[in-house]
Amino acid sequence: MDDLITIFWSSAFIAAAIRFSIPIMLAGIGEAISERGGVINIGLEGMMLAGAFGAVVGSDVTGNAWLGLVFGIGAAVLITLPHGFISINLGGDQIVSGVSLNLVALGLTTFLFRQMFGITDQPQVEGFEPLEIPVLSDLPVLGPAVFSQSILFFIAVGLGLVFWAVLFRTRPGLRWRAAGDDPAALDSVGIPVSRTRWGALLLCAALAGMAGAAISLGQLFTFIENMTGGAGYVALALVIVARWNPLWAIVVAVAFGAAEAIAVRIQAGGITLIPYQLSLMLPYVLTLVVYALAARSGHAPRALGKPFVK
Amino acid sequence: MAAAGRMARATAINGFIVLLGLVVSGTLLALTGADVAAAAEALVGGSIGSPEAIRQSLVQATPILIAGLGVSFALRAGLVNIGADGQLYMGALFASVVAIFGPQLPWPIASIVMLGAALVGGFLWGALPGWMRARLGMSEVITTLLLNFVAFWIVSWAVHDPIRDPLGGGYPWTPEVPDAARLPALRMGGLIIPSGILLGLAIAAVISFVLHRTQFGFELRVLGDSPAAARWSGIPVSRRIVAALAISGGLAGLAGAAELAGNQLRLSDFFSPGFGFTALVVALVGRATPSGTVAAALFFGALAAGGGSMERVAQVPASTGLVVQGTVIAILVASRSAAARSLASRVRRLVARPRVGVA
Repeated sequence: MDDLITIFWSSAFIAAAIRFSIPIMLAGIGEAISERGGVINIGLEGMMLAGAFGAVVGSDVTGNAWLGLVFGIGAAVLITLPHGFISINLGGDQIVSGVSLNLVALGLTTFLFRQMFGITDQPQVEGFEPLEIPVLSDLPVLGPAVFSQSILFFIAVGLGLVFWAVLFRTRPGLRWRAAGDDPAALDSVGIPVSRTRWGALLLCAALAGMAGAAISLGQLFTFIENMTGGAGYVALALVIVARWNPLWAIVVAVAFGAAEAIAVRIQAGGITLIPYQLSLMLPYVLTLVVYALAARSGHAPRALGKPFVK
Repeated sequence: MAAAGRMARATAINGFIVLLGLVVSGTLLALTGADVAAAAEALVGGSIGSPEAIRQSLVQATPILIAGLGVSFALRAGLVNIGADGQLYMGALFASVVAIFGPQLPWPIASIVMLGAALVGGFLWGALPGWMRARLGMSEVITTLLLNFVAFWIVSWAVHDPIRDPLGGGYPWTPEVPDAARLPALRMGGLIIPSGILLGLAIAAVISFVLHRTQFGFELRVLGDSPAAARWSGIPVSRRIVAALAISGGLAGLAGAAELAGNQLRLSDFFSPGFGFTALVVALVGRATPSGTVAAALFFGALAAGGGSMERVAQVPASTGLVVQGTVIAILVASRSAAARSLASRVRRLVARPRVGVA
């Protein structure tokens, strides 16, 4: 037992949990906004993959990680446009459209990456290194864990706070929530539902692009086929546990990140109590349980996934 | 007559959509610098150019056909099962445990028992989201998606530890399925036909019968067309929802066994390259009808086999096949959207108007 406490209450473990939480935090915040606006994105994984790819290309071309991030956001937004058009303007099936986005993103990024860099030539690009925040990073245990992260972590937390405030304290946020809860009411006061939903969706795509960049430029400094490896689905699950609230998305992302950090520890031989697969399965099981409890309580946006046709 | 006409029109429209998908994705790939002519040649040669190519296409079509029929079945009841991948993994897990670690039975009993085990595994993994939907009001889209990952990690653990082949050359996979349980390939004329695809065709026939000739199938279709009407007419909606998803999952599980015993022989955690999602594509392109699903599965099976040869011969990555799949679905969803339907009915009214004057 003491052994486990020393493992979990250590700078290295908490730092790993936070590091793993950054991509799913960004994507989860974005997805919370989009789902509040009524658009569900099974294609979150594909948006992130496009973001990861675009970021590496951008960073390789410009030699600047920040410009890489901009490229990543651009790539994710670009690949989301057909999905938005189909599900918002045409009133098509959002789930199926999202599946299509994932397939196209996986195929296209794999193809383009080989086209640009070949199979053997793995580019190493400029990324986001951890930064030491003066004074705070000297705190015991939490200092090196929380205040020696890449800048993307602080951006993610900041965005979570900002969008929580926007969603629940401002007029555009009210409109987003109306577009997902009662689009007919929004339409009846003369606000176009489609434009409102587009806003929420594009914001989600941008955040998913940042999330992908957080994987490629924040962890590996290169691109690998299918490198998001299901993180988009974890983020989709996270939104349910966070009850569509960006603030909770921050907390749940760190919890889910911890599950991944535990799995890595087990694989490295630090813990032998459970197989690492159990730890990686836990976020999904937890999501099912929370969803079961929440399904009847009506936290989900009522018009989620439903096209709005006048 | 009217039904046959509708069917022919639907087939023509879907054929056009697939063609459009090929053109759009081909253009996209050409713009990004692929040698499309060489790729197309390799694609056709590798999918239908020789008896071996045809065998490959049928092997690739088998799991997506059987799982696609499962997804179609649920779709007819108005349920979107995007968890076929997880159900397929559970079916393959049950199948491999029974076939490899159970009592060694003679052929064909070993095959039949193995397929039965897979059916049970997938059935249970489909019944679970069915129950969650019927009793707890949870969307089957979310639950089946999440259960994919739960199934995947269960299988990943199993093949790394309890059912790992100690002589597997370091790979985390099971020993091979014994000879007596394998699905043989049949020689017909000059062709080699894997028996899994025949199993798929038989299942398509059974589903067609169940949907159109039985009370149960009728009730499922009512449920799919109008849940409210189903409730008013006294159909036990909850039980039908569980049954539809359980059978859907069972078929996906069966697809796992067919892939295991007819192609890969070993279960691993890289067993499915996304069969379940391709199965969803196949079901949608096939308009959730058994015959349409068969046609779509054969097409996407050929695309997968041709994709492999494209990579070997024309150095175009097989992943471009995913772009084609994704593009086809995108066009398909767009063509079936509310906007497209209202456009179609406006066009029909315009076309129909002069006829009124003639009559």
